[in-house]
Amino acid sequence: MLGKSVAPVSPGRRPAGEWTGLAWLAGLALAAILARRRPNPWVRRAILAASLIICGWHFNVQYSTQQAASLATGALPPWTLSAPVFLVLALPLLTFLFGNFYCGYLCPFGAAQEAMEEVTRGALAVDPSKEVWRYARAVKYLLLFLLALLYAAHRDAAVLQADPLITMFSGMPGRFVLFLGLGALLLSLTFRRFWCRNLCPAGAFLALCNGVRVFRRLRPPVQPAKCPLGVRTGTEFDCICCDRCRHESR
Amino acid sequence: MKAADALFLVCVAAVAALFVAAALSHTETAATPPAVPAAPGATGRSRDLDLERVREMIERGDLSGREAEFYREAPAGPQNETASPPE
Repeated sequence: MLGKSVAPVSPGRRPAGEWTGLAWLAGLALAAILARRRPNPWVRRAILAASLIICGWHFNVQYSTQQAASLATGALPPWTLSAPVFLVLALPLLTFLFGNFYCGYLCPFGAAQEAMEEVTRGALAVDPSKEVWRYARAVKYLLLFLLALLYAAHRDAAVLQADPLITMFSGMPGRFVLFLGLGALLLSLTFRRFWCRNLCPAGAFLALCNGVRVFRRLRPPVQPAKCPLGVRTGTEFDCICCDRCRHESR
Repeated sequence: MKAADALFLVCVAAVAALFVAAALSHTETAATPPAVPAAPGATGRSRDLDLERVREMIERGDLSGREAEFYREAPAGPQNETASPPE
């Protein structure tokens, strides 16, 4: 391509690094943190819908193992006001402080799964027992460990490409990733947040951050006894802070 | 164990197996860390790169000025079409 004539760049998807993507992401994160103080299912649905459409489809700013690997290895993006910097540095820090609100309120892929659930109004939902999910949820930590091993061995981000969150909203996901992502979406019709709760390695990384409880007062108390997603105690890492247990309608 | 629980575990195991298969398949295309650091200029011929032109393209907005976040697989076809030095 270099050294040859270049056709004008067609206006298409905006690069994720633009400040507008950061503004939307940071704004929605702030909205999520504030919304958790007085949880309301409709406010949460609105934030999720905005995140799916704006952060996911439009800007493709989705937390994935790519950002987790970037933080873990110190291969940080350039220090500019950009969505990648926010995802790599600010999001884990906010998770330390406020809990794993990203998974519950902001994740575009999680929003897509909940949209599937909303379409059927949960008619197909079958919740596994908490005892069974207790074991199934460990799978996402194993997958995170596997990716960490492969990344350490090859030192190439290509080994992370199995994570559908990296390319799902890029407009050019590979066939296998598309198959995996769509399969997870279909399964979320039956098992709520199927990917997030059991298989998401990026979510596992944020769950580990969630386990570091620095300022407990900043985190609204949850009610595990009412959790429809299988959380049993308030100290479990796997709470995605969806606040379904705190919604007045429940 | 209820039927729903068994179905759930089967689904988790199946998707996890697909994920592992995908992750392992990507290791074939991943770069292997070099055992010995490459010596610049040891073999081959360096490309002529018009840095001034690249800089102008970045300023015009034709290039982004940063590394691509996603790469598209190159289409199959004649390889190293432009590798030969210009006559």
